[in-house]
Amino acid sequence: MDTELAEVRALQAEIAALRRACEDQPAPWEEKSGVQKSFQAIQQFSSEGWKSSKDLKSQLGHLESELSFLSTLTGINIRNYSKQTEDLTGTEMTEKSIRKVLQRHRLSGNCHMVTFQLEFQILEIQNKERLSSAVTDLNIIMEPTECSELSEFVSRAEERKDLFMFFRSLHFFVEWFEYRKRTFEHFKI
Amino acid sequence: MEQTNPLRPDGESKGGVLAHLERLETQMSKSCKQSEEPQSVQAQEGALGTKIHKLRRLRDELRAAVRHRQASVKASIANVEPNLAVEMSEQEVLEEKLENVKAVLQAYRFTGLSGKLTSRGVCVCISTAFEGTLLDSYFVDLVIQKPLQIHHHSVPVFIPLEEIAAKYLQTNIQHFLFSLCEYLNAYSGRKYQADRLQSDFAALLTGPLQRNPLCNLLSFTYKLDPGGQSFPFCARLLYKDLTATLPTDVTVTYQGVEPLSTSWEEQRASHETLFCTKPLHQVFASFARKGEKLDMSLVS
Repeated sequence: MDTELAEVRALQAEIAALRRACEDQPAPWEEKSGVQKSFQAIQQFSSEGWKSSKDLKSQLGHLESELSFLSTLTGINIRNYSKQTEDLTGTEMTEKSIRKVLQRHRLSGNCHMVTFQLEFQILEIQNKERLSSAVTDLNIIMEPTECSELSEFVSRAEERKDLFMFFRSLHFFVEWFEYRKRTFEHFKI
Repeated sequence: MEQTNPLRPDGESKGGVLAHLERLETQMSKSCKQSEEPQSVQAQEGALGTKIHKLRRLRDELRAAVRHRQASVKASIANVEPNLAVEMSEQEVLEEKLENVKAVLQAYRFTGLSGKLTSRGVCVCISTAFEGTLLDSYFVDLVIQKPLQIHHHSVPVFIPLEEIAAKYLQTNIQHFLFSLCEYLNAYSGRKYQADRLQSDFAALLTGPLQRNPLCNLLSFTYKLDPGGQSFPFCARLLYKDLTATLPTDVTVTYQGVEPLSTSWEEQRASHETLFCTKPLHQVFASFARKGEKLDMSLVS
């Protein structure tokens, strides 16, 4: 009976709080001027968020220029990236102070007219001495698909699970391709 | 956008909710008065259960009413102050964009080159790896001025940073960084192979692995059958090309007094070729596998 009484008290308290909330919020059907309504609306939704919109814009601007720099530097334009993490540590491993984490990464973007989509997995194993990180799976989808030289280094990169080699080769290949195109254009009559 | 009458037909249903709530509350206060009268314990418990049930219902109805009002306010703002609503969602759009940009910046480390803008210029981070195994990262902090300068860095002293900078830094930052990437990745890869040899195949080594900091000169003695009678081979690997992870000069010599038999000579020569064409630790992995096969054949 005590627990039930406690629940009654808790429910009554919650009901009182909810009634107050009902009273605080302006019911839209109540007669209020447009200005008052918008003022209350500003109060209701996170007012801090509204003020920091300017900060957001400047932060975004700064990061976007960082992005633009990296894109120019590497020759690679990454548009999207997402990652998932899965903890594979078993109870046996925890006892031996070993931690195993599997990361699944997905990124896509383009290098001039070539678009790519990568899905790869990184397995991280942490034991007492060191942390080891290795790419355990690499899948690359390219567009255009007909270019044989492109497919060649793509399959080599996939085989060796060599991300850096893929991006560097892609950049040089596209540069060379663009250069060749310009040269041929130059000689067109 | 035309302004709609705030007193929408929906108001009736809301009035309905309020009225309903009022009815519930009246019921509640009635049952409260009832429970104040003296009753048997059983009757009291029964009344308590019913009271809880009713209270729960009232609470749920109030929760729904609060949620409903919140949604209506939002919608009415869109009607009354469309700009305000637009600005609200503009913020959500900004926040989403910010999250996306942050994520993409993180992703650049997978290209091998990433970085951050600094007050002075830019700090570039070079990631290294060897055949899928991610290794150390190094940074170079550049000051944007004429001439471009390296403020500070974490590049090991035996990497020819000044040479590479002298060649490319002022004319082509990209070339400078790509070149440095090559040297650092190659060094990282050589170091990784030597480390793996020491840690994984110590059983096949008959002496300590000798190496220089740049890991481009390695010297070691090894035996294919550790417990066996044969003499060890002595290998010397020189990596003249500092941007490569495979040696350019390999010599495998035999440390015995008597001349080698033909089969052993063949082995010695094949080892020289192996060290030139495959990563060091993978060569030793194949030695270890052969050794296992040998053991198996002895047992069967």
